[in-house]
Amino acid sequence: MFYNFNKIEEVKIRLRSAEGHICEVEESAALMSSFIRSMIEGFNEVTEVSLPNINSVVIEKVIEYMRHYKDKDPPIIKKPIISSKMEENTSAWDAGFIDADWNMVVDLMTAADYLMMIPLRDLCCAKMACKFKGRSIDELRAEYHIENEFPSEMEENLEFQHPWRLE
Amino acid sequence: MASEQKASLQCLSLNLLTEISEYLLPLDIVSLLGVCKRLHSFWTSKLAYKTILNPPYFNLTVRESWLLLQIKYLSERKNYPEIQRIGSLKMIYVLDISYSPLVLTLFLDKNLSKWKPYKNNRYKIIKNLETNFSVHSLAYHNGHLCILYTNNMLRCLLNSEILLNIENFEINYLNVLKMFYLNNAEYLVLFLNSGWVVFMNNQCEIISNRKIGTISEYKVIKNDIFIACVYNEVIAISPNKVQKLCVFKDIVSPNIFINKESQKIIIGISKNVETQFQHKSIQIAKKGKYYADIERRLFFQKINNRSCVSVVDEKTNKKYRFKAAREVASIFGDKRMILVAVNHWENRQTSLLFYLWEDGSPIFTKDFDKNINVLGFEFPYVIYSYTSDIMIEEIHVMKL
Repeated sequence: MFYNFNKIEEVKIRLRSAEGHICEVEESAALMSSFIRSMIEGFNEVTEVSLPNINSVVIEKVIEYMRHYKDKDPPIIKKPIISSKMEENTSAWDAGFIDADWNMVVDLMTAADYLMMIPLRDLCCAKMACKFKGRSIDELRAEYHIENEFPSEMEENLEFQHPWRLE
Repeated sequence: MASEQKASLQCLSLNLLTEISEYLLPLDIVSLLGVCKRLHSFWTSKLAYKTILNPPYFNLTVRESWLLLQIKYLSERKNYPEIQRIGSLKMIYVLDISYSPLVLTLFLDKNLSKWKPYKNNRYKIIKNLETNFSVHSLAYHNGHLCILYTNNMLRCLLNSEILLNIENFEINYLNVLKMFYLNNAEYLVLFLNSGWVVFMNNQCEIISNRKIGTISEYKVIKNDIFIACVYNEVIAISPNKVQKLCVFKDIVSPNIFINKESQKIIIGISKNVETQFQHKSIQIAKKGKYYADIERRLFFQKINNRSCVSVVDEKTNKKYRFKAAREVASIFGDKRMILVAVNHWENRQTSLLFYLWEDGSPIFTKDFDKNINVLGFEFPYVIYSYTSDIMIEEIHVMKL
């Protein structure tokens, strides 16, 4: 019989999603979240954290990020971003990780904000900024299906105040 | 999906919008500002907040707040000093107010290897240009096409890539004093110090040339026609024709102004008389000296007596009085404000005075110990040079 005496089972933290699903993550990875850290450090022997605002798909995505960066620092993204392509603003892994649809990025950003994971929140913000960078008002309205809410006189006033806005 | 995207964009928390804005340049945020009411409201309130952090000289509009933000970005980015002093003629600038919200459209850096038009924060780099050239004159069209006269050579650049070099240009035509484009860059006009005016196409091939004399001032009146002052004559010049418009007996180098609304050509002369003419009719219009056409509002200087001048806004008949002033050196403005530089009687001093149109009281004044010449103005920047120099050797940029 073979025993691996060096291997010690790491404590797992159970994250309960909005739907009630349980997602497990190693404690060392979960500590990336200041929110979870405060829960663990504030209450002894806490192994389950309820996240009623975050669904399980997003929690799994957050855990993927936590595991990747549990032993190293995430890259810092320059402000303002230099390109509308994420791969030119950050590492290839980060760019691939955040290459998700709009709703996922928004949910991930909101979750990172809630969990107080600043590097992940910054990554999401930078991704969002990439979607806005270099786009005209009309392009943004068309992409997000937003009607022009400004009455014509206000639009004219805007144009007067910001003639260069339309460049 | 589309409706979800809309909900997401419009329901992002203000906190997250603030974080996102940190990754964007002001010009990108401007687009977001116009997308919907909520974002517009957010950005303007955010700007108001930022403006409080950067105490303004007066209540700023959103546009001016944006410019403040621009300045903040410029000063944070070391490539754009907030106030840049240009030490010699080797460094050039272009005042292209219509093209960019900032006046500092183009700078050559100290290594003379880059030019930096500020538009969407892009740099343009002139390639294959030796480092010891000296720029004497420049014509700049729409941010893309540029002609430099450097070291006896005309260089034609498109998007900062050199298209064409014409060497030893001075052997035939001596130095180029001034260059500019006509008719959407169809013609390049060169004033040479030998008194020649040369028209070239955008391949730098000569279309026509005429010896006219030294041109002291010019204004473009139609696509391919400009009027110029040559000593005591005012002439209309096109690639094919030169026509004398009027001749003054004892008046040299009058100022030329165009009233865009009435299409009148106005000649400002130095004997307290204004002459304006349309077509061939000449009439005495008003007493005064100096006209300025700012956003289709005409201003002229009225010399009251030896110790006071006033600038009169023809539209409102509002007067701006300057005590102990000898003359108005220059007037600049936009739709809301006016900048007047006034020369004093004593000590060759100039004062800058900055007014809001409607209010009429000065909101910014600055006294200089020399005469200055304002080259350009776009709030909050003023670009000026000292006029005591024989040549413009120092160009200063001041932020109001």
